[in-house]
Amino acid sequence: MVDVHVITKGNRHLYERELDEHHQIRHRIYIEELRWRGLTPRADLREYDQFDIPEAVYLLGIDKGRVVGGLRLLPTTGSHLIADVFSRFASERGVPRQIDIAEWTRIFVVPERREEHGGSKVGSTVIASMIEYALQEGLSGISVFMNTFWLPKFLKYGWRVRPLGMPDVHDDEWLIAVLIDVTPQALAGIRSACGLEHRSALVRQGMVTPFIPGRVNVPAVA
Amino acid sequence: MNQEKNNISRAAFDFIDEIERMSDRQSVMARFNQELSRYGFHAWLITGLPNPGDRIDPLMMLNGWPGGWTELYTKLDFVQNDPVVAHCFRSTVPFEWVDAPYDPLANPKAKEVMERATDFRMNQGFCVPIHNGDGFQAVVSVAGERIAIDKQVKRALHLMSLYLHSKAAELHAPKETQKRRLLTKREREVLQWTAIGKTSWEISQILGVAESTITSHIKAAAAKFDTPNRVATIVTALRRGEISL
Repeated sequence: MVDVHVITKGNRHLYERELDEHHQIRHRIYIEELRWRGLTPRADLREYDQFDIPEAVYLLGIDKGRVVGGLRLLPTTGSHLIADVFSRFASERGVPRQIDIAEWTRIFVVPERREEHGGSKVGSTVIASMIEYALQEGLSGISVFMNTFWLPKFLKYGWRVRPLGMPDVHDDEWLIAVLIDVTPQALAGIRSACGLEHRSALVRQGMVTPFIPGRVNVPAVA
Repeated sequence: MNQEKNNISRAAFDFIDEIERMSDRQSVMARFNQELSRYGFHAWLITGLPNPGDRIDPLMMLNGWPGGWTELYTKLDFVQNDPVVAHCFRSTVPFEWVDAPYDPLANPKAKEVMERATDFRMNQGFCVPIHNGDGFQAVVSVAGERIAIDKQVKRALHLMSLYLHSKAAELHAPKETQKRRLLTKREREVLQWTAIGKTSWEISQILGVAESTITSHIKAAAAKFDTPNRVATIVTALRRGEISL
């Protein structure tokens, strides 16, 4: 069973080893495997970009001490990918910039945990945990710039997903920027579509910094 | 030019918004026909793609092909040799039919499929392959006699097709994707009793189980809805139609 740890400014000192492992995995996946053109190989074999900022939140899937998957969330009020680099993909509805909207980037699953029984359980657990985390933090939406092949999957979860602009080709891929509504139905929908249990995989250790500055998180009562 | 570009994007966005609210096949089909006619298309199909040797007709979700072509296509099992279908399995990105190559000498059956299609004024077309992630593959295919589509129209067709496929899948298998039931039979039963004012202890007596079992059913329902308390759970269950008063 994968636990999904919430790593923020306030508790990242508890996760130095896991964060470093995650930057190594990102180097293997985004630079060596996917060869993203915007990224250059690094001598230390760790991938960082300009958005690995203190405000970034990492949700890391950890199984028996090893990082097996993860993603990154950024506040949309500051620097983020759609606003700084790909705003032309948001030309219809504009770039969402709200304290209760996060931008989702850098989803990954380590190669050895992909394609478990038609679709990666690690991947769907990390994504479902992102929606659950967003609900707990009082977020209304998640923006993401992604390959268009994700869109039918999200719609199959019953998610409300609105495009921000037209899809277009960039580096030989069809890409699109969208805004996903964060609702309890979105969480229930992905769990039911991916055959996940209706229980949380999220782990919060230490001082977790609230996503919305100053907000006091009230733990959900089951 | 820029105005034209804006109009095409705007039309695609309006289309997505409108079909989201539609719940019957006729409205969706009429709306798509209206949108396609702007670009010279008159024929279209949204379908799952069969494995080699299997039939296509059970997988068709929404069919806007001209009368007679569906019958001919399925009767002669054209799907086995259709070069456009073959290309869907190779491509993850949208493509024009003309870019689905085949060798007419080595593959006369593929040539026959494409030639017979022209009898139905389906000379040129555009396909958006859909990969669902669970190994199931589908396609939105649109065709016409002479289509004039630039990059901007392709972007619009791509976007509309992704949403249209989802709507078609929902209308094709309503039980599966519409109104997804989240609660078990027992959880609905317990919430039903709670909604009419019974306490957990009373329900435990009615159903002949431990009071803690009743409480855990209610907690499980609350967890599924992500609701903070009993009242919110009941309200959500009512709103979703899982229980009724």
